[in-house]
Amino acid sequence: MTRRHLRPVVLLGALLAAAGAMARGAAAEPVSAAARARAETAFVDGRLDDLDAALGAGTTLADAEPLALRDLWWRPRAGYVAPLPAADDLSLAARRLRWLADPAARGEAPYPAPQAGETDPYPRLALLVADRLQREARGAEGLPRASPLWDAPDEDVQYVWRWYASRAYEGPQPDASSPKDRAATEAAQARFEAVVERNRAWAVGAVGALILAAGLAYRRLGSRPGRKSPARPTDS
Amino acid sequence: MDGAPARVPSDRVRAIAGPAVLDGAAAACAGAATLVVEIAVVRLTAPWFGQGPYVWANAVGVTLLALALGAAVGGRWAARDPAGRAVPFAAAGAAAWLAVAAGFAAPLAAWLVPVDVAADRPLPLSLWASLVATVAALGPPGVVLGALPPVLVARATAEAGRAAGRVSALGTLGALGGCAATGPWLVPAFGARGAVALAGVLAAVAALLTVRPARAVAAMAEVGPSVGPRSRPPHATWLVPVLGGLVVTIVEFTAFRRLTPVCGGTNATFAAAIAAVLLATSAGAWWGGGRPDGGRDRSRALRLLVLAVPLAVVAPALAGAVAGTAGAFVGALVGFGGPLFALGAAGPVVVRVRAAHGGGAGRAAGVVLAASTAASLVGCYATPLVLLADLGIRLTCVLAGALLVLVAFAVRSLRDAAAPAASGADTMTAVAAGPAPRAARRALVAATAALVVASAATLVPRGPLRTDTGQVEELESAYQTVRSVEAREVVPVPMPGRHALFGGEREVRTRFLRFDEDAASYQSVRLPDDEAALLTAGRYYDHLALGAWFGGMPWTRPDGPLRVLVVGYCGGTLHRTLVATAPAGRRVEVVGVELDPAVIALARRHLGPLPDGLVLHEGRDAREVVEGLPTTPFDLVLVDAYQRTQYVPFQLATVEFFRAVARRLAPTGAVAVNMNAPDGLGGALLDAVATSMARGLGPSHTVWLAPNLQYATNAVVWGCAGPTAPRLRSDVPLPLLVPAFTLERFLVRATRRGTELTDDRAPVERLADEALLPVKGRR
Repeated sequence: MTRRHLRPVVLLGALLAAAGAMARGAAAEPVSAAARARAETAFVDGRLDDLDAALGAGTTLADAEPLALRDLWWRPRAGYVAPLPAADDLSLAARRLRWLADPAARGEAPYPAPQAGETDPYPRLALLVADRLQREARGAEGLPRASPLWDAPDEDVQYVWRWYASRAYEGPQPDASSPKDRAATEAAQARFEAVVERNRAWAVGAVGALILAAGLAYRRLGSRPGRKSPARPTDS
Repeated sequence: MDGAPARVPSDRVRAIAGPAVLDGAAAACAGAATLVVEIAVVRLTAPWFGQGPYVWANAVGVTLLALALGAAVGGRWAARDPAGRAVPFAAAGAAAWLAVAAGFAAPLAAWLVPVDVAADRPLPLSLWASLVATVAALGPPGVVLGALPPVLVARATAEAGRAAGRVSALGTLGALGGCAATGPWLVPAFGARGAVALAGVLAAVAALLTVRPARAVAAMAEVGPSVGPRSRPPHATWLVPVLGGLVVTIVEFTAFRRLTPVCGGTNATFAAAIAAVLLATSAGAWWGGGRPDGGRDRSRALRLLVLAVPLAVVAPALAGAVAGTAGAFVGALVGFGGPLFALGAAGPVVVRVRAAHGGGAGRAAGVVLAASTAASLVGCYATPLVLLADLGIRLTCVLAGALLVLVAFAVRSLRDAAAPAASGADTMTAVAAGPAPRAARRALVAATAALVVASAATLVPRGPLRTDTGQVEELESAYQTVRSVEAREVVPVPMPGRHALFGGEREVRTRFLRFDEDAASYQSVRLPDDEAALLTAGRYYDHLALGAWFGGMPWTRPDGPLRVLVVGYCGGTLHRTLVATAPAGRRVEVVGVELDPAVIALARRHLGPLPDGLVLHEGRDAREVVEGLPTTPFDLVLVDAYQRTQYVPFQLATVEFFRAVARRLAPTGAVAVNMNAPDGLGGALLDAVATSMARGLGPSHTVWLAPNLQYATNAVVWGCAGPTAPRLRSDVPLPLLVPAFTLERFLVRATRRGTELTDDRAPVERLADEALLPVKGRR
C-alpha cells in the first residue's frame, strides 16, 4: 500500500478514535439533575417503567441507585445485576447499593441516610423506603401520622399520603372539601336519623298494638260465656 | 243445661273422634303456615332490610311473640268455646290477612327503608323496620294460628295430655315442612309474595279442616272438657314449659351452628338440622302424650330428662362426626335429638297436670304453650346474639345441660302436686247446645272464600320485588334476591406518564349483580366493552388478581398454569380478571365454589359466558368443598364469600378453615380474603380474620393487610409464604397499575391481635354489625 493510499485510512481511523473517545467521555458523565428528578418523580408516581428512560444512560452509582432500589428491593427483577461499589467507596450511593444488594447484611438497619456534608439526590425515595420499612415491620400502628410521609417536604408526596392514607387506615372520612358538600352530607345524615327515629316509633307502636290487641282479646274471652247485662228497669 | 253433667252417648263420641284426625291435620297446616310466612316475610323484605341477624331475630321473635299471645288467648278461647265453633272463622280471617299482606309488605318495606336514604347501610333502619313489617304481615294471623292448638286440644275427645301431645306433635311436623320447603322451593317457585300468600292458603286449609260436618258439630256442641273445680297448679307447671322452651330454642340455633362447618351452610343443611330437631321434639310430644298411667309418665319423662343432660353436653362432639346433608340430619338427631325428645315429652305431662287442676285441657294447653313460646322468644334473641357469640357452642351446650337439670327437678316436683288426671271421653260433660249446623255452613263458606282469595294471591303474576334504575332482571333464588343492573359510570383509567392514582377517566358500560339490599354495592361486576384494559376499574377483584404477580407464583416461572381456588365464585369476575391479566399463552385453572346456583345462571345470562379452565362446585358450601378437595396445591386461594349480602360466613373465617386451606396451598402460595372495611384497616372484624388466618396458616406464612384507595370500604387480608412482605414481579401489567401502587405504598403487616375465630366461637355477625351500627362517641 502506498503512502497516498494510506493517508485516508489513517484519517478515518483518527476520526473514529476521536468519536469513540467523545462517546466514552459522554457515557462517563452523570445524568443531569433534572433527569434524576424526573426519575424520582416517576418512582413516586408509581411509573416504575419510566426510570429506565430517565437514568438508563447514567453510569455513576448515584444514577444506578433508583434502578437498584426498584430492581433489587421495591419490585425485584430477575437477572438484574447492580453495579458493585468499590470496597473503599463510602459514598451515600455506595452505602445504599450495599444495603440493597445484601438482604442478610441489611438486617434491621435503616436505609442509609446522608451524612453531614452529603446531599441526597433522591430524598423522596428515601422517605418512601423508610415508610415501607415501617409499614412492613410495625404494621398500621400510629398510621397515617406516624409515617415519615405525613410531614414530607414535598407537597405532592404529602398530599397523596395524607389524603389516601387517612381513608385507607381509618376508613372513609367526612367529606370536608366544600361547604356545599358538607351541608349535603349533614342533610343526608339528618334524614337518615329522622327515618331511624320514625321507624323506632313505628316499631314500638306496632309491637305494642299487637300485645294490646291480644290482651284485649284475652280479657274479653275471660268474661263468663253467655253472661248478659241486667235488664234495664222500665217505667211500665 | 246449665252445667248439669251428663254422660255422652258412645255414638256421639265416635262422631267426634273421627274429625279429630282432621283437627290434627289442621294443626299441621297451622304450624306450616307459621313457618312459611316467617321465612317468606324475611325474603320479601330483604331487598330493603337485608337478611342480617337482627332481621332474622326480629322475624323469629315477632312470630314467637304472636304465637305466645295466641296461645294465651287460645287457652281462654278454649274455655269459652270448647267446641271451637269459631276456629274456622278465625283461621279464614288469618288466611285473608296473609293474602293481603303478600301485597302490602313490599311497599311497606320500601317506605320504611328508602333506598336513597340507606343505600348499602340498612342498619339501624332495618332493625326497627323489620319489627314493623313483620308485625304488620304476620302479627294478627300469627296470634290466630297460635290460638288454634289450645282450642283443638280442648275439643279433642282424647285425654288432656294425650290431646296436647298429638296437637303439639302434628303442629311441629307441619312447622318442619314449612321450614324445610320455603327457602329452597316455595320462594323460587312462587316468589316471596306468593309464599306469603301460600301461607294464607295453608291457613285457609286449616279453616276448612276444622269445619265440622253438621252431625259432629251437633255432638260437639253438647260436650266439652271436664272443667271441674279449679285449684292452683304447682309452680313447676310454669317452670317446665319456660325452661323447656328456652332450651329447645337454644338447642335449635346451636345445632345448625355446629353442623355448618361440617356439612356446609346450605339450605339443605339448615333443613336437615331443623328437620331433625323438630322431628325429635314432635316425637317426644307424641310419646309424652301417650296414655296417662297414674304418674308413671312423669317418671319416664324425668328419667329421659336426666339421661338427656350428658347428651346435651357432648352434643357438639356427636354432631361433628358427620358430613353432607344426610349427615346433618343424622348428626342433629344423634347429637341434639335426645334432649329435644325429652323436652317434647315433658310438655304433655305438664298439660295433664294443669288440666287435672281444673280449667280444662284447652286452657292448660294454652298456658303451657304460651309460657314455652314466650321463653323461646327470649332464646331466639339470646342464643345467636349473646350465647353463641360470647360462650361459643360447647359452653352453650353445657348451659343447655344445666337448664335441663332444672327442668328435671321441676318435673320431679310435679309428682307430689299432681291431682288425678282427667282422661278419656267418659269424663266429658255436656254443655250448652247451639245452632251448630247453620254455623258449620257459614264456616264452610268463610273458609272456602279465604282459600280462593289466598290461592289467587299465590298464583297472581307479579313483577320484580324491587326495580332499580337500569335493572335488567330480578330473580328470587333459594337464598336471596339477585338483580342484574346495567349502569354507565366514569371510571379511572391508568395512563402512561401520569401518576398511578391520577390517570385519565372514561365513561363505560358496567353490569352488576346485586343481592338483596345492595344499592351502590355489588357482588359481581363486568365492564363488557374494554375488560382487557379496564379490568374492574380498580375494584377489589383487581387487587385480588394481583396475587398472581407475587414473587414465587407461576408467572415468575417460564411455564405452568396458575392454579386458583375461588371461594365465592359468584358471576366469575375474579376468574375473568385473572385471565385478562395473565401473560400471553399462560393458562389459568380455577376451581370455583358458589353456594347459590341461581347466581351462576343469572351471571351466564347477563355477564356473559364463564371463562374456560373452570371446575365449578355449584350449590355447595365452600367449607365442605375445601375440606373434601384433594391436597392438590393451589397457588392462590381467593375468598370472596359473603352470606346475607354483607356477612362473612363464619365457617369461612375460622382457624379451622384456614388450616384446611393451608393444607391445599403450594409452598409459595398465598391466600386472600376480601373484607368489608368500613373502619379502614382498624376494624375489629378485619383484625379477627387476620388473627385467625395467621393462626390457621401457621408460622410458615405472614399476614398482611392491603387497603383499597379507590373503594375505601374494601380491604384485602393476605396470607403469604415467608416472613417478608410480598414483592411484585417487575412486569406486572399496566391494568394492575393502581393495585400494584396500593400494595407497594399502603400494605401493612397485620400486627394487631383480634378475636380468634373458631368453629366453636366465631362472632363474625356481631363484629360486622358493630361496624355498621352507630355507637355513641364514634365519628
